[in-house]
Amino acid sequence: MSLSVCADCLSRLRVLNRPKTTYTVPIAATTFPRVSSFHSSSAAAKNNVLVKSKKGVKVIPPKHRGSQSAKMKKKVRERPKPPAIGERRAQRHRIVLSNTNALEVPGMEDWSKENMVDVQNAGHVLGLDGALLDKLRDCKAFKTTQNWSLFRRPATLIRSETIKIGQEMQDINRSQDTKTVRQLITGERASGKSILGLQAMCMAFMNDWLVLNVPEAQEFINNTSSYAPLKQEGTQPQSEQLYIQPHLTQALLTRALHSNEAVLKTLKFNHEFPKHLPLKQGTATLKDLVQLGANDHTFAWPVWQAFWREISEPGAKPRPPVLIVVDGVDHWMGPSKYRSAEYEIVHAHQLTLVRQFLGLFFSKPGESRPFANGGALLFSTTGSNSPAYPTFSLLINQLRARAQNLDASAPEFPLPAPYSKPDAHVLELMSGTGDVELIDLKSLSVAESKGYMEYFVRSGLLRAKITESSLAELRGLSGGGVVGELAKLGRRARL
Amino acid sequence: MVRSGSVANAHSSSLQRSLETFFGIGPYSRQRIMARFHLHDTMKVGDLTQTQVLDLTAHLDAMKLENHLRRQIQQDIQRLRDTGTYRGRRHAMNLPVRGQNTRSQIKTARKLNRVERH
Repeated sequence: MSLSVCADCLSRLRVLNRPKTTYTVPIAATTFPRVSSFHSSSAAAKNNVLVKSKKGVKVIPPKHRGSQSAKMKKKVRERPKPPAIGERRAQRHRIVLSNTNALEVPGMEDWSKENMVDVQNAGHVLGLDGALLDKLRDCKAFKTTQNWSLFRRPATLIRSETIKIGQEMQDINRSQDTKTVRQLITGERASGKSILGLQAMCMAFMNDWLVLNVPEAQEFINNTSSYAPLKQEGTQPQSEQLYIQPHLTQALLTRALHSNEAVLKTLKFNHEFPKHLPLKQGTATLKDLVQLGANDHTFAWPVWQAFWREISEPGAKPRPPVLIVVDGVDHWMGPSKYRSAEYEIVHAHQLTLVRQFLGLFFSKPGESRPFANGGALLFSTTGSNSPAYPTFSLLINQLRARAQNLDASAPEFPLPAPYSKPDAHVLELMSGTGDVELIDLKSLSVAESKGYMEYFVRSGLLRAKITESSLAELRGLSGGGVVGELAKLGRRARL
Repeated sequence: MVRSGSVANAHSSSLQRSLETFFGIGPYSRQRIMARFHLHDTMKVGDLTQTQVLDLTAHLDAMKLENHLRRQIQQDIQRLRDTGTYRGRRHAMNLPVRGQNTRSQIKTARKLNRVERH
């Protein structure tokens, strides 16, 4: 039979020494404080002293002031292994050009030399083929900010501006006269400036041009690459010290080498190269020269000079036209982060490569043509990472005014603000803006936006029908059809 | 380099950081030293050429760094004390030197203001 009261409680029951005759309530235990109605043994044993000690086991008196919490065995936290050195950077810079989950777009044409400037292609999305992709990749034309990783295969929207540039390139191909086109691309953020540069590179590769690309102009000025003062040659002192950037020159030559290898192989020397370069006179091609600079940064600068002379100065052997693309050129329009030995700020125009490229672009009338067989210079500004250089904004405004046929003497013609201190280096460029054409990238036209959004639909990214009203809505939401904003809307999941 | 051992250990560490580990070189003098020898900001110690290392070593040798600098600071305090100036006495008494209140909050002074500072 089980007891209704536990044995411990019974042991605490005080038996009164009263004559048994007197009636005692057996339930007197109820007057004692009862800890628990159902069980009290654990409550009584809460004090360690009360617990009978086993033989040989030392009873530790309770720590009244110590922590009463239960001691848990400390778990060893498993730390995830950090990624290997360089992996994070590789992840950051990785260019993904295809997405196997996206649908293949049936009937999409490839962009080729034949349909390069076909006006009917305006507003259509054309695919880029394999050989071209390798070249574009090698010259670092793709950027991580662009949405190549969304689609099955890389393709690009042909805009009216693309066709215009293509036509100018075709003119250069056909014309006997060596002509150089200079175009400055400006526009808002995500308006397709870098992509236009990429398209120009595509067209140049299709026509076997020589392509030199500067994917990030900022790299030249932000003091993250080696620099050294250029030794003054000759007796006439230069007005300011110039600086060379060996590693950046090496990188430029590397890009030029890998993307133009086939063209460079066929080109022989027109002029004598410096004797200290370890090349075989007579048999060496321009590829060997560029390879030398790409392999060793100590040779990079003399190699670049020799290479530049070869492609710019006319000689016995013909040269292909040259395309130079620079992205984010506004970084070159102010002081750099470099310092001279005397800790004075080095202006971007004191860096030789920057000076050379800008000198080509803003060449003064009467100066010799930059390329032996013509070419194009395509400089684009940056919209999202633009430094505040008012003198360069003034230069762009002047170009804009000139495009509207505003005379320089007109009162509305933009001039430096009175009492401001414009950048003397940038002001100097203004005298050479005569040949520069400004391409002000605006939003896409309705037809172009329709073509672009339909490409999203056919790739399975946008599950909607593109009607006139839905297109108007999309264009309204994307600042009137700014291409990057449209692309953002196209990829957004609608749940 | 003066402390070529430390630099050899820090082969892959940034030059900026390595320079600033010296007692007596902070951001101000580091920037000037690096500009003087045309060294860019993201440079690693291992990227230095032999001539750059030699130039830098010669420059650092000429500077008063580490124990030389510590000794000089100590001597300056000692001199103040020996000449019996107010600043010297305050140093000797472990009290603030530059006219701060001493009612509370002079822990730092108690810790640092002493003749045998380092």
